[in-house]
Amino acid sequence: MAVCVCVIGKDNGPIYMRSRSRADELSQTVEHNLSQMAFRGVTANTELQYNFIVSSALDIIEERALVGSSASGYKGNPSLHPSASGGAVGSIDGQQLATRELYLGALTAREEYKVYGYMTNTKIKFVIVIEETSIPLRENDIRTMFRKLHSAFCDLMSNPFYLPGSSINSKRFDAVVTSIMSGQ
Amino acid sequence: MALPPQSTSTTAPPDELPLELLHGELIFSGILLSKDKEGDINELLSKLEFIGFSTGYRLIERLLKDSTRFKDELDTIKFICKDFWVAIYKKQIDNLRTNHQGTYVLQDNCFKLLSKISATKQYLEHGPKFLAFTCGIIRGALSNLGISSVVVAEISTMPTCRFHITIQRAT
Amino acid sequence: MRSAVSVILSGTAPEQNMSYPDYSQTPLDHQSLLVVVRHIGRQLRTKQFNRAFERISRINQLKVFDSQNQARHIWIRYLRGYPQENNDWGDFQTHRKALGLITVGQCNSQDEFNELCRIHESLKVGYAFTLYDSRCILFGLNQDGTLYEESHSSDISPCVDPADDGFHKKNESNSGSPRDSAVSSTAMPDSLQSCSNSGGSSAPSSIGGIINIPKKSTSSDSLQNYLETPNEDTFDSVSEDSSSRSESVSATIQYARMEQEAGLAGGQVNADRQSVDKQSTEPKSLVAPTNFKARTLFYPTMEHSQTLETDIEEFIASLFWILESKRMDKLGLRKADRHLLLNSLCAPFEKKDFVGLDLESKNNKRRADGRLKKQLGDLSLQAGLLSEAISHYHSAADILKSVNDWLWLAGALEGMCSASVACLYPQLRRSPTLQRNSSLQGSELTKYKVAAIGTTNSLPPGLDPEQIGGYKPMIKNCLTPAEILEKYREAVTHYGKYRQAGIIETEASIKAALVLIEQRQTLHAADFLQNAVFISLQLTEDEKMQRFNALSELYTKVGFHRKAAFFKRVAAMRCVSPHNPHPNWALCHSLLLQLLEGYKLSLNPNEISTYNFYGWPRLQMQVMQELVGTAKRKGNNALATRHMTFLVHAMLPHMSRDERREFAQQLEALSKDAEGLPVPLAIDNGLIVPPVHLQHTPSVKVFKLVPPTPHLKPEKVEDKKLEEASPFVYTPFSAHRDRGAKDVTKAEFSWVEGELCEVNVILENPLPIELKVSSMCLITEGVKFHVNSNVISIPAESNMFPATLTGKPLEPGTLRILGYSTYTLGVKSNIRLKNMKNMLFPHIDVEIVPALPSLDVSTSKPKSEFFSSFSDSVVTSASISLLMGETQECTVTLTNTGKVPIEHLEMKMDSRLDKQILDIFKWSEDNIMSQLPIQPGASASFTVYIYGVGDFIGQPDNSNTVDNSSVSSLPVSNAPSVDGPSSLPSRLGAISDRLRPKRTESSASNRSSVKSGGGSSVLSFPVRSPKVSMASNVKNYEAVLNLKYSGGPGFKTGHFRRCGVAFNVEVSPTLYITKWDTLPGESPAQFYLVLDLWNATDHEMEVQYAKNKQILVEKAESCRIPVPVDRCPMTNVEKGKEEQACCEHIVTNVDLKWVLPECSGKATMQGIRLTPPMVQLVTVSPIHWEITINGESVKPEEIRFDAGEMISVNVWLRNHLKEALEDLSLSLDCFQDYQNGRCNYKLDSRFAVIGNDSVLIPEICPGSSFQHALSMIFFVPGLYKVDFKCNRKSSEDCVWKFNPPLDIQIN
Repeated sequence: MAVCVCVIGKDNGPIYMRSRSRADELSQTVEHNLSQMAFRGVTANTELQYNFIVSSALDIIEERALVGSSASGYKGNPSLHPSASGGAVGSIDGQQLATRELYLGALTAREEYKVYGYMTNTKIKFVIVIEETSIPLRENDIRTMFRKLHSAFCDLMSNPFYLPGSSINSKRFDAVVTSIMSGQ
Repeated sequence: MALPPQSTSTTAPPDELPLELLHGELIFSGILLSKDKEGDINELLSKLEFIGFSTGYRLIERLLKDSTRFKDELDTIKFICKDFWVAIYKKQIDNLRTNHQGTYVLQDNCFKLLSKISATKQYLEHGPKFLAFTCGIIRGALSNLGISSVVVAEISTMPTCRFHITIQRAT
Repeated sequence: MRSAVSVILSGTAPEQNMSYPDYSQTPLDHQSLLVVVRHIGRQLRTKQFNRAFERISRINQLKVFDSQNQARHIWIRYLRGYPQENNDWGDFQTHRKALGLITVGQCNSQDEFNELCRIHESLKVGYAFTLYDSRCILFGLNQDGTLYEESHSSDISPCVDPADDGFHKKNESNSGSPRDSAVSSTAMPDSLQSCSNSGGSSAPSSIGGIINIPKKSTSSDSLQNYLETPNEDTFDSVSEDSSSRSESVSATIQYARMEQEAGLAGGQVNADRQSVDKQSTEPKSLVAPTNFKARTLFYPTMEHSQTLETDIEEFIASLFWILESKRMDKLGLRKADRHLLLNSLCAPFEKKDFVGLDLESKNNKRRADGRLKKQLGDLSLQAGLLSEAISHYHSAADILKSVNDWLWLAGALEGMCSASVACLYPQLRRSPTLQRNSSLQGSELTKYKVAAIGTTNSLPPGLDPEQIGGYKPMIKNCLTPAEILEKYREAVTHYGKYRQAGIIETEASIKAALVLIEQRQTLHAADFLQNAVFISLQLTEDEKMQRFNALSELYTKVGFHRKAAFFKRVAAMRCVSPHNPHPNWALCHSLLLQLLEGYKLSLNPNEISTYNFYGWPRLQMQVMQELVGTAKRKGNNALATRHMTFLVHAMLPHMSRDERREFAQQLEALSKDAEGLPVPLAIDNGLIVPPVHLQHTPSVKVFKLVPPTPHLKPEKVEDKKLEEASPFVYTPFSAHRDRGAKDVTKAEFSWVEGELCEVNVILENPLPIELKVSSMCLITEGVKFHVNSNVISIPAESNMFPATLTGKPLEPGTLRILGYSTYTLGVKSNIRLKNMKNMLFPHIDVEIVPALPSLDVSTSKPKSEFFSSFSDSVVTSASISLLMGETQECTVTLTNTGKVPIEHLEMKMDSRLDKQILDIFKWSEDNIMSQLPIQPGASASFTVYIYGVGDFIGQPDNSNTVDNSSVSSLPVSNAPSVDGPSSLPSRLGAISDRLRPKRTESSASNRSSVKSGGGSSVLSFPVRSPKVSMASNVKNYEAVLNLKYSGGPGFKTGHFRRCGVAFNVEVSPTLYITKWDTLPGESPAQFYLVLDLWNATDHEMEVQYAKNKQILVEKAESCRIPVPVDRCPMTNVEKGKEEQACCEHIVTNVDLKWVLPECSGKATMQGIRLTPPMVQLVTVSPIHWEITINGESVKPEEIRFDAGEMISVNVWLRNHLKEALEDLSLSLDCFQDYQNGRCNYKLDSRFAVIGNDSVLIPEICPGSSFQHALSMIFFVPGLYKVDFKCNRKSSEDCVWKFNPPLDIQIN
């Protein structure tokens, strides 16, 4: 179940951010705000939290993109399970091919959610946060999500009223994102 | 390097005429008819070039939707010569040369936007006006791919033309 | 026991709290010996201790030559404190054992000394099971243990006893010169023996090796005895109880300790000897307590401790040898006995499982075997035998895998990695001097990463050429980089199977990460770190904080700045989490500050704008908020305000409406406690927070200097001469102009000292709340400038709010305007023009000219509601309406409203109209000048006389058309007096007259002038209704009286001001002379000028046209008057100019006074034209006739004769002119006038002439006369007329008649 969809511009600034949880409204006073922020742990499930998750995922996106472009070694699978790792080492060349594609795979894995990344040729990054549920999503489902997102973005780009690089507020795009997040 | 010439490059199926006509109209009534001093015409041309720029900028987004990531610059330029060119002009660039230092020369032996104008010197002096838009398109496409460049075009004999792409390395 | 208690009391000891991962560990630490360095006692200041620690930890490597005389590289790791629990893992990984203890203290008295010794002992107890040896470094004592006094510090410092010297040489010259090695080997005779019997050594022999130690130990005792009062039994008892205390510890340790002391004896003995000698001579040397058996090193002071290093090296060497011997023993163990060691070969948490474990079982044997191998690996790694270590590890790994001993397998694998790393990446070892400073590392590693990025198409990471070259030759079966990665993975996963091994796993992950960073496999590194994050450990909040902080720093190394920042923040949150018993806001704050960079934030507002992108606004805002909060909580209100200000300033573009309101209000609230000042803030951790200026609330859209109003604009007198002299001569004026052209920062106008100057600004308030700016004023430099601050309140989200900033320059010079300052939301900000986006220039210069007077002008006439202001400096106006020919007065009053007297005044009447203006206005300069200077507040006045000019000659409504056109182009006065047509024959004029009405619509001036020609013609009669013409006849004259004035200091510098009074004069017509003609007067000396007057007013008008001759003209009526005028003497008038002369003559001699009920005026004949016949009449004719009949001169009345009677006529012609008249012909005509306009000249039969009826006159000289006589006879009665005329042959045009003709009555 996708809980957060984010589009990040060339310059690594977010141009679209949408998350399942209601946006946490500003706290009234500094003190209150403070207690709140103290409360926000690593797993506080607020929209802010998604911001944090996605932004730190950027590091890895950049890294992978870099690796991909500099035609060298690693695209791997973040889990440290020996078999997986074995795969990682064994299939270096295979992974190079992997980076040539826009889908960057899972960036970070946590108990409660996974973060997936996708970068267009034009350095536009899509990040989708998937909530780990009983029914695990298959890799292909993720890919389709991204593909939907990408074509939506292309349509957006073809809209003369959208200034490339500016933050997105298009009903049409919203609709697509909603459909992605609602999981069909 | 030479790219395999496309068989369909010369004969124009009707479905691509609209672009040519629109563009031609743009040039003729948009620019040539504005009987003003030289400066004004250049201004209009640069405006047209910018229109091309944003067109290319937006177009490349869609054309690259399903392609994989480019290996390097040359890879990108090749894409411009092949798929990109076909997408717009229904033919490939006929010849691509590069000095591997960021300068590429794309030659189109029968450039669509010129093909209907003349094969003689008749309108030669107007020729360049018909390339501004395309220069913009190329520049826009590249810049969206993170390659900032300067594109200039030249016509030796209609309807053959060359586009010189010079990559601006970030220093 | 007491000692333990004392440890607790000594406080700082971390042993008490639970063990936590050692984040600073590197893989290479596996290879180093762990030595704990502790600060004991209170005498030694921490700074001193740190210096000592610094010096000690510099000795982190030692090169020793083993029995085979091979160089061994020993690495040492010094820690200030080491948790016992970690120490307990020492059996699992020997590098975790604290092998050595160094205590550093200072004592000045015996009991202090005792206390220190006790503490030292108690510390030793802490590590009892692992400790090989210990040293107690004491300052404040001489080498010999006597108290050190400052006094003889001098003679102590040089004192270095030869033995130490010798050691010194040896240790520092470890570079392997044979002599030294010899020394070292001889230094350890029996360890040599023990070493000699290798792996397969039998127990007895090795025992033997140990057996003979007691013998040695006596010596060691003996040298102890030198230090302490020799007391066998106490010593033994102690050693016993120590041994009894350490039941599980293998006896070897006991021996080892002795052995080592023995080993050192060689080097140390003589030193001690000397100390003994000194002791004997020095009575007051301190005595260590009896139970103290550690080696003490005395140094007078930090400065006088040259031997410290050598002593430490000696200490290290001792540690090494013990280690070596232990390794040998392990190596020498018989397979059979190995399993016995299983108990000692287990991690702390395994112990309980091993109770009653069947050691004989094959499985356990193998297990023990594997573990032993593993430990051997550790030992040999520490002992500097990499290859051996690796092979041990390999075999261990194989065995352990077979018995599923995962924990130890992992250990083996990790060991394997560390060993390989030691080969591949020796550079990984941290330099002892580099203190762990996150920012520093961050920067250096980012550099590193950048480099990595730079080399795009290089070899795969970790296979950099130098590294390949590096490890290939060195050691066989050393792991490749890729393998290292794999083994680490494996190890970590195995560790992961044991909850208790969490710390080990964490550390392993971190080490792996470090290696991978070295290999530039950042993604893998990130994976390991990620893994480390999720290992659940029982940690206190504080430790958690440290953990996250460490992680963050590691992420920085990886180059993942966002993740690093993320963890920094988590760490920060830990400091203040509600679960945290005592939240540390200050720490939280400083941590937050560290993460700013990761989120592309900088507290310097100038930098934030220079970032090419703004990072992640949402997060930046969050962090800033948290900064504000923490700053507030840690009690630094000013800082909180500063942060909040920054938030509002820098993040505004990214804020939603609500956020804007929210933050603005928060800022206001915060600044109540501490207002924001534009000064840098220094935070306690030394960081300087630059000031933040609220540039966007409000933001200035337009910033425009207001030039003084035209009539107050100071001007500089332009020095004509200079400019004309040569363009190269510098004149302030022209120079100024030029500069104005070039740089825009100079205003084109100047302000005046002491007068209010204004700057117009247009403000935008981006906040959804009303913004109150409690003070807003200009920032200037240069001349003294008094700024008035003004209070503004800008409605919510208004983007075009105008305001004016004012000030008063107090002295002349150049004023530089730098920007403006605001005080709003409780924050004071200075905004510089150079920081404003929409400003082109960094500052604006204005020239301030010295004080000038200012003039206020009023007139006695009413202001005119409109005047076309062709001079913008007009301050007032006067409208005067008068009648043609009337004269009025207007009093102009000048008042000096300035502060300096008006000393200089010039006046000039300017108008778009021609010189005619000069006829309208008249005043007396002298009158005004006499009133200068006008003191401030005083006033002067003068009178302007205004005369209503107008053209009385001609047609009202053609002048009217002219009037209209006069506004446009053609001056009024030109109209009637224009060229030829006036001399046209009359009929034409008449025609043109009739055509008029059609033409008037298109009132082009030339046409109108044509008509005017017609107008002035003789026979034209008006075809128009007077009413219409009345309205359209009023003429307007506009003129401006320009006043140029100056005074005071400004006058001296040649400045002045100008102002103007606009006069709006409207002249309404009175009477017109529509037609005129000339008639001969009674006497030839006179003629009558016959005028048709038309009264254009709507009053009855009396016209006086000659002395005591007047006539009343009804309104809109015309009447004809004859004005007697003396003829114009045609003296000295050159030919052709006659007409002009005549007109002038008439203008001057005819004056018509008109009188209306309330006013009167004069009418001039200006503009009258004459046709030649008229001229004839006007001029006195050149020829004077004199005619006598029968000798009598003729009278005008008729003469009677009878028919047939002869009449003799004499004619004299006299010439009046200066020149002679030539070729004249005189002739007479006789005719009858039928009074019906017909004359009959055919009278031949009715009369006869005797003599010539016509004669030619060759010439009449001037003054002389010509006489002609003749007679005539009439035959028939009747009335005859006789006409004499004389004309020039040459030209027919001028004919002079004698008139009136003679009338002759014949009866």
